[in-house]
Amino acid sequence: MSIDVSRLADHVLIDPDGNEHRFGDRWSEQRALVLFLRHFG
Amino acid sequence: MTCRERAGQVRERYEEILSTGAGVVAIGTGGKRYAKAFIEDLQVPFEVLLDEDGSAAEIVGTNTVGIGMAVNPRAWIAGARAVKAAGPQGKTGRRPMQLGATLVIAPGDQLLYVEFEEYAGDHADLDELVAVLRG
Repeated sequence: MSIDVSRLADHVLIDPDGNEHRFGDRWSEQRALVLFLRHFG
Repeated sequence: MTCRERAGQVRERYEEILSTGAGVVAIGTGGKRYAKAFIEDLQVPFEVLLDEDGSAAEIVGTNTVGIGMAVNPRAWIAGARAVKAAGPQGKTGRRPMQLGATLVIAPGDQLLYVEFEEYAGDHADLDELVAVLRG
Protein backbone atom coordinates (compact mmCIF):
# COMPACT_ATOMS: atom_id res chain seq x y z
CA MET A 1 0.00 0.00 0.00
CA SER A 2 1.37 3.41 -0.89
CA ILE A 3 0.90 6.51 1.19
CA ASP A 4 0.92 9.99 -0.29
CA VAL A 5 3.48 11.37 2.14
CA SER A 6 3.63 14.76 0.44
CA ARG A 7 -0.10 15.17 0.98
CA LEU A 8 0.33 14.04 4.57
CA ALA A 9 3.17 16.53 5.02
CA ASP A 10 0.96 19.42 3.94
CA HIS A 11 -1.80 18.37 6.29
CA VAL A 12 -2.42 20.72 9.21
CA LEU A 13 -3.06 19.28 12.65
CA ILE A 14 -3.68 20.99 15.96
CA ASP A 15 -2.00 20.52 19.32
CA PRO A 16 -3.93 20.19 22.60
CA ASP A 17 -3.91 23.99 22.96
CA GLY A 18 -5.47 24.45 19.53
CA ASN A 19 -2.36 25.72 17.74
CA GLU A 20 -2.01 24.63 14.12
CA HIS A 21 1.02 22.72 12.86
CA ARG A 22 2.06 21.60 9.39
CA PHE A 23 2.52 17.88 9.86
CA GLY A 24 5.52 17.59 7.54
CA ASP A 25 7.58 19.95 9.67
CA ARG A 26 8.08 16.98 11.99
CA TRP A 27 10.29 15.21 9.44
CA SER A 28 11.60 18.10 7.36
CA GLU A 29 15.03 18.06 9.03
CA GLN A 30 15.23 14.72 10.86
CA ARG A 31 13.66 11.31 10.83
CA ALA A 32 10.40 11.09 12.70
CA LEU A 33 8.67 8.23 14.42
CA VAL A 34 5.00 8.88 13.72
CA LEU A 35 2.54 7.05 15.93
CA PHE A 36 -1.09 7.01 14.89
CA LEU A 37 -2.91 6.07 18.06
CA ARG A 38 -6.44 4.77 18.09
CA HIS A 39 -7.51 7.47 20.53
CA PHE A 40 -6.40 8.97 23.83
CA GLY A 41 -8.32 6.49 26.01
CA MET B 1 -5.99 1.20 26.88
CA THR B 2 -3.82 -0.16 24.05
CA CYS B 3 -3.00 3.45 23.13
CA ARG B 4 -1.93 4.15 26.68
CA GLU B 5 0.10 0.97 26.69
CA ARG B 6 1.80 2.04 23.46
CA ALA B 7 2.54 5.52 24.75
CA GLY B 8 4.10 4.01 27.85
CA GLN B 9 6.28 1.69 25.78
CA VAL B 10 7.59 4.57 23.68
CA ARG B 11 8.03 6.76 26.76
CA GLU B 12 10.22 4.09 28.35
CA ARG B 13 12.52 4.12 25.30
CA TYR B 14 12.21 7.79 24.48
CA GLU B 15 15.81 8.69 25.30
CA GLU B 16 17.07 5.79 23.19
CA ILE B 17 14.88 6.98 20.31
CA LEU B 18 16.13 10.54 20.66
CA SER B 19 19.71 9.24 20.61
CA THR B 20 19.10 8.14 17.01
CA GLY B 21 18.58 11.77 16.06
CA ALA B 22 14.89 11.24 15.35
CA GLY B 23 11.84 12.93 16.76
CA VAL B 24 8.58 11.40 17.93
CA VAL B 25 5.04 12.59 17.35
CA ALA B 26 1.80 10.87 18.31
CA ILE B 27 -1.51 11.56 16.62
CA GLY B 28 -4.81 10.73 18.23
CA THR B 29 -8.46 11.15 17.41
CA GLY B 30 -9.79 12.49 20.69
CA GLY B 31 -10.45 16.10 21.61
CA LYS B 32 -8.16 18.62 23.30
CA ARG B 33 -9.31 17.77 26.81
CA TYR B 34 -8.65 14.07 26.32
CA ALA B 35 -5.28 14.78 24.76
CA LYS B 36 -4.22 16.92 27.71
CA ALA B 37 -5.33 14.25 30.18
CA PHE B 38 -3.49 11.61 28.14
CA ILE B 39 -0.26 13.64 28.25
CA GLU B 40 -0.58 14.41 31.94
CA ASP B 41 -1.67 10.97 33.12
CA LEU B 42 1.03 9.13 31.20
CA GLN B 43 3.69 11.83 31.48
CA VAL B 44 4.09 11.71 27.72
CA PRO B 45 7.42 13.37 26.83
CA PHE B 46 6.83 13.61 23.08
CA GLU B 47 4.61 15.82 20.96
CA VAL B 48 0.93 14.94 20.66
CA LEU B 49 -1.25 16.25 17.85
CA LEU B 50 -4.96 15.86 17.22
CA ASP B 51 -6.63 14.41 14.16
CA GLU B 52 -10.17 15.06 15.30
CA ASP B 53 -11.85 14.40 11.98
CA GLY B 54 -9.58 11.49 11.08
CA SER B 55 -8.43 13.14 7.87
CA ALA B 56 -4.74 12.42 8.49
CA ALA B 57 -5.50 8.79 9.33
CA GLU B 58 -7.52 8.63 6.12
CA ILE B 59 -4.50 9.76 4.08
CA VAL B 60 -2.39 7.09 5.79
CA GLY B 61 -5.09 4.47 5.32
CA THR B 62 -5.31 3.08 8.83
CA ASN B 63 -7.43 0.00 9.32
CA THR B 64 -10.66 -0.10 11.26
CA VAL B 65 -11.93 -2.61 13.77
CA GLY B 66 -13.76 -5.40 12.03
CA ILE B 67 -15.70 -8.46 13.07
CA GLY B 68 -12.52 -10.47 12.68
CA MET B 69 -10.95 -8.69 15.63
CA ALA B 70 -13.65 -9.98 17.98
CA VAL B 71 -12.75 -13.57 17.23
CA ASN B 72 -8.99 -13.07 16.91
CA PRO B 73 -7.25 -14.65 19.94
CA ARG B 74 -4.29 -12.32 19.47
CA ALA B 75 -6.61 -9.34 19.92
CA TRP B 76 -7.92 -10.76 23.21
CA ILE B 77 -4.40 -11.42 24.43
CA ALA B 78 -3.31 -7.92 23.46
CA GLY B 79 -6.33 -6.46 25.25
CA ALA B 80 -5.56 -8.35 28.45
CA ARG B 81 -1.91 -7.30 28.23
CA ALA B 82 -2.90 -3.66 27.76
CA VAL B 83 -5.28 -3.67 30.72
CA LYS B 84 -2.51 -5.08 32.89
CA ALA B 85 -0.02 -2.48 31.63
CA ALA B 86 -2.20 0.60 31.35
CA GLY B 87 -5.48 -0.02 33.14
CA PRO B 88 -9.00 -0.23 31.78
CA GLN B 89 -10.29 1.48 28.67
CA GLY B 90 -10.89 5.22 29.02
CA LYS B 91 -12.74 7.61 26.72
CA THR B 92 -12.43 6.52 23.13
CA GLY B 93 -13.31 9.77 21.37
CA ARG B 94 -15.24 10.12 18.15
CA ARG B 95 -13.57 7.37 16.11
CA PRO B 96 -13.41 4.30 18.34
CA MET B 97 -13.22 1.93 15.37
CA GLN B 98 -9.99 3.37 14.00
CA LEU B 99 -6.86 1.28 14.48
CA GLY B 100 -3.35 2.63 14.81
CA ALA B 101 -0.36 2.74 12.52
CA THR B 102 3.35 3.40 12.90
CA LEU B 103 5.45 5.24 10.35
CA VAL B 104 9.04 6.38 10.07
CA ILE B 105 9.43 9.30 7.70
CA ALA B 106 12.69 10.95 6.68
CA PRO B 107 13.40 14.39 5.18
CA GLY B 108 12.22 14.66 1.60
CA ASP B 109 8.98 12.86 2.54
CA GLN B 110 10.72 9.48 2.37
CA LEU B 111 8.61 6.76 3.94
CA LEU B 112 11.09 4.36 5.54
CA TYR B 113 8.68 2.19 7.50
CA VAL B 114 4.98 1.63 7.85
CA GLU B 115 2.99 -0.89 9.82
CA PHE B 116 -0.74 -0.94 10.25
CA GLU B 117 -2.45 -2.42 13.28
CA GLU B 118 -4.59 -5.40 12.34
CA TYR B 119 -6.24 -5.35 15.76
CA ALA B 120 -6.06 -3.14 18.85
CA GLY B 121 -2.71 -3.67 20.53
CA ASP B 122 -0.99 -4.96 17.39
CA HIS B 123 1.96 -2.64 17.94
CA ALA B 124 4.99 -2.36 15.69
CA ASP B 125 8.16 -3.84 17.17
CA LEU B 126 10.15 -1.12 18.93
CA ASP B 127 13.51 -2.81 18.41
CA GLU B 128 12.84 -2.86 14.68
CA LEU B 129 11.76 0.78 14.78
CA VAL B 130 14.88 1.89 16.60
CA ALA B 131 16.99 0.09 13.99
CA VAL B 132 15.16 1.91 11.19
CA LEU B 133 15.57 5.23 12.98
CA ARG B 134 19.30 4.62 13.33
CA GLY B 135 19.48 4.05 9.56
